[in-house]
Amino acid sequence: MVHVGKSYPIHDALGKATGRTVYAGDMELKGMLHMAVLFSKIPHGFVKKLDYSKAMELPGVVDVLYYGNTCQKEYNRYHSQYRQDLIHTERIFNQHVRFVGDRIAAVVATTEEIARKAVSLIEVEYEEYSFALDAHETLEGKIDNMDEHGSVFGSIANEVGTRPENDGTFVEVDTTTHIDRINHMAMETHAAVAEFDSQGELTIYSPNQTVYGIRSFIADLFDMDYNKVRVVKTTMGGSFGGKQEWVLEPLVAAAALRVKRPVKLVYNREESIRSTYCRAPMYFKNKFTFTPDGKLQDVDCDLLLDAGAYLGNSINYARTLGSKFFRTYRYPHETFHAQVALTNTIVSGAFRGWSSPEFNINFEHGMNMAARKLGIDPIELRLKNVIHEGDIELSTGLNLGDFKGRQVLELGREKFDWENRKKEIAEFNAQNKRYKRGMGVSLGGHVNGFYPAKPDYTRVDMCVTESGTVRCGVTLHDHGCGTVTAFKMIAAEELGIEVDQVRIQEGDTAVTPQDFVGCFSSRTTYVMGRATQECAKLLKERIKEHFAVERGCDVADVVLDGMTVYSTKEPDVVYTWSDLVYASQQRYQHEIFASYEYVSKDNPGVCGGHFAYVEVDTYTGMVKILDYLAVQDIGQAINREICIAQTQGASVMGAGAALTEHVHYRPNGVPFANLKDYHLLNSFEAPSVRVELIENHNTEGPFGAKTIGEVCHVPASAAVVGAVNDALQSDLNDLPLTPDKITAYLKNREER
Amino acid sequence: MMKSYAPKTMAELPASLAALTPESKIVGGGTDFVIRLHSGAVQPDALCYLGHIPELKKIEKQGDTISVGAYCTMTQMEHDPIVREYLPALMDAAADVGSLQIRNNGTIGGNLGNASPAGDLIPVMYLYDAKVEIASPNGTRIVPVTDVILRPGKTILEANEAFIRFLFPVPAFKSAFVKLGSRKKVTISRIGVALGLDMDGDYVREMKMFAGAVAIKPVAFEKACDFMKGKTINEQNVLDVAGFLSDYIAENVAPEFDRDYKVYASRGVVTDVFDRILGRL
Repeated sequence: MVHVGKSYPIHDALGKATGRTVYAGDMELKGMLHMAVLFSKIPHGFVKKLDYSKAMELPGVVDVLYYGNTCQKEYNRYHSQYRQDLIHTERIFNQHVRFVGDRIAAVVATTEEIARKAVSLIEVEYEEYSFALDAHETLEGKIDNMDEHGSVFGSIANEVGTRPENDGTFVEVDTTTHIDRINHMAMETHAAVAEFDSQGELTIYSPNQTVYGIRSFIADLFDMDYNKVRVVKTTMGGSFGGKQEWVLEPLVAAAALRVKRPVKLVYNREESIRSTYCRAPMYFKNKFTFTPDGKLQDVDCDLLLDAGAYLGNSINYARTLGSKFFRTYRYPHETFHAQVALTNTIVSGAFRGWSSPEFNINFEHGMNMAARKLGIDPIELRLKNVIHEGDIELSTGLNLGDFKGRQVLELGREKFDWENRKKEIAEFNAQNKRYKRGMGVSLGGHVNGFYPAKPDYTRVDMCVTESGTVRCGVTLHDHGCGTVTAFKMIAAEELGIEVDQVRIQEGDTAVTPQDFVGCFSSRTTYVMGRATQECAKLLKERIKEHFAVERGCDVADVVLDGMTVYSTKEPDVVYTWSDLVYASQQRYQHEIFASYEYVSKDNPGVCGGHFAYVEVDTYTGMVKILDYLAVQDIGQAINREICIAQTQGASVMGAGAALTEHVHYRPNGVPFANLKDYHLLNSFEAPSVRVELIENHNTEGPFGAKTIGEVCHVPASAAVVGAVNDALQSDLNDLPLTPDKITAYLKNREER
Repeated sequence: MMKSYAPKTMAELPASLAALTPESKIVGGGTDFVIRLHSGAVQPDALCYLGHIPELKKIEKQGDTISVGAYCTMTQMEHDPIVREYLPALMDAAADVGSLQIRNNGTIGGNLGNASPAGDLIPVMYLYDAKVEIASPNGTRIVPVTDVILRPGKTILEANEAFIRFLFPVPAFKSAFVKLGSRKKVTISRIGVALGLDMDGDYVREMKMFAGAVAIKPVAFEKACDFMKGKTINEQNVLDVAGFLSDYIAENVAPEFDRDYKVYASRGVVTDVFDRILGRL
């Protein structure tokens, strides 16, 4: 292949490096106003009195929106598909406030400074209610009054397979897991712009993962014709799932509809942490059952998921987590039960991997504890249970295809020097009192799109310009990770032209084809990429047909070569694609274009195996990652360096969730919403991640590709946690494993 | 509208200070101040920046005293040959403040003026018996650093006063500083230990030790120092010194200020500061 598998810079790298790229927060429209939001300062209560007279008197203030003058229809921020069946608990502005950071009102003014100043002049009187900061408090009935639908949603359960007969030798391993809430921490904070024009069309500009999803959400919320709502995806400075639920979009829409001028809203870092959404805190209790020689027989898993203040995606998230049991290991039986509880905290929502990393953190800890109990090496135990090529996913009956889990583990074992290192670690730990070393492995399976759980298809349009270059419209939402470049490479490879001879138009409901699914669930490259490849094939046929008509020759004899076309019967008559466009315009009177709709046909197993080597300072609880290796089962890397960089970033992100990241709450319900207290792994602590890609080119994806962006995040946290537990011979799985938690554990152990 | 003053010479300084009110602020590198300004937590009527005055950016050795201008940055102190030779604990502390960008701006004057219990340089100032020269419209006065901090965020500085110079007597002992934060780098101190050792061969003649971030002001550990007199530096003795620190924390720090962690991790930071000073003996 000419392009696919090579490395190209992302399409807007130059603009980003030079500061010329325009994000939603940089946009300026004629007559544009600025919005700032008044947030609840209490975790739960009722706004008895709201006095915004002083705000209105401030020069430059145009309008104040609040629950009394704005659409009060209930919605669900996770609404991304037409007629999606969801429980609606949230409003644009809320008088019954449910968390510190809930929206009460907003000011629209000529500058952001004035809008923020005016917000500080609004006087609020609350009636305070009892509140719950932890899902267990909700179960105890502390906030039974919170929502008319109830505060606990408990009917999520599944059972798959047949429980094997215990011959009396089975070994049971009981484990618990707690995962704290984490923020996506995209470099770009949340922003949105809306304008409402004189023809009654509302346009929303925002960094987001589905323009058609927002169109459905906004049109339904404001009872508008879908044709009167246009949504444009802007340059995205990272999402990680943080820009696939609608927080700012309804606010700017409501404001623009009222003031009939463009309105921009930009959340600062504190607001993005506190008032958008986070990954859900989760509590797991499990029983894993093995044969004495390490064959997994049964998993019983109980989950309590903290939804935060509004329901959002939490029920779907818990259910999706329950669908992940058979994408990594094969065993005969599983039971899963989940409860989702509201709390007076940040709303929970999507996060990179959509429950697969959380599933993995819980499951792989079980595998590690079992390995210890059974006296089997952790890689060996995984090899005994890993899914093989062509295995059937027990829960769906789906063929998992060319799943390379076994090869991932074997390659990782070799490249990580696992066996030798085990000996080195034993020696080091025997000689060292203060520092202890350990290794962890994690194998994490994931999906490539929604098939077969949900419909998953998309359409791609292509045409040839007068220059002979190709325009491609596909409802992409590049998160900042290089999707546009990857798609240019896919199209260029198939068309036999240069990467820069393809232009990709990203999601804009006025321009790009309908894609009601959105850039979720690792479907972009696998499904939409294949659609783009197929569309390029069709466009090649169209070019040949046009040439055949133009020259009166047989289509079968027409050959494409770069941006030229000729017939083997007449090799001296070579048209450039530009010549052919001119001929088509003048004589054939027909555009050279193609439109192709691709329906996803399968969903092969895909996985990553991560290996971490750590050193724990038992005096201070600090963890240093000494080495890290990620092996990804990728089918075919499209843009190689980007796949590697994605995996490195995901590994550091997962390591951060394992060791340092969490949004901590004060007892009064106020979160620590800043980067002073929320510790990402910084460059001093981030490991140099080595990446190995296993490529077998054997899938329905474009050129045999599988997904990468989410699956490379799936195993990361568990690998690091496993290494810490190996170093300390501990059974900790209360994430993040901060120095405080590690030292508290060591102190308890010393005292026992 | 906020006023601003930025005198360029010592001669211009008194007039600028005279213009300030109790609502005004002297600005150093703005490490903490700018965050509070943006959040609206402070709304000063005027800002005064003295970093254009050359004398306030100088580090000099005059006889037995090292003079460090109040606007010397962390980066400057980290690399200054006089600081590295005579005040290595100040170098240690300056080198470990925040990120490089913060160290390039953050000043020694700001570190004391901010009067944070976690101020990295303050235990080092205590260790070295530093004094600070304070300018006002009417002249200057010199006070021991130990008299400067009244409470978190509040010093003895009057509205028209500013730190201009720190005076460190050349120490007759070896010294080091180590801080323990929530992570390795770019972190706020949870415990900072400044240690001074005067050795007689393998035996400790005199020891000085101050811990930061465990109280409003740095805490002196005289009993630990007495304990070490005449002893050698070995693992058990170091752990015993750490015991003085952890006992202090257990008795005096409130649980919500990470007490349990600090009690446990004391031995880590004390071991590290002894290791660092041993490298300098």
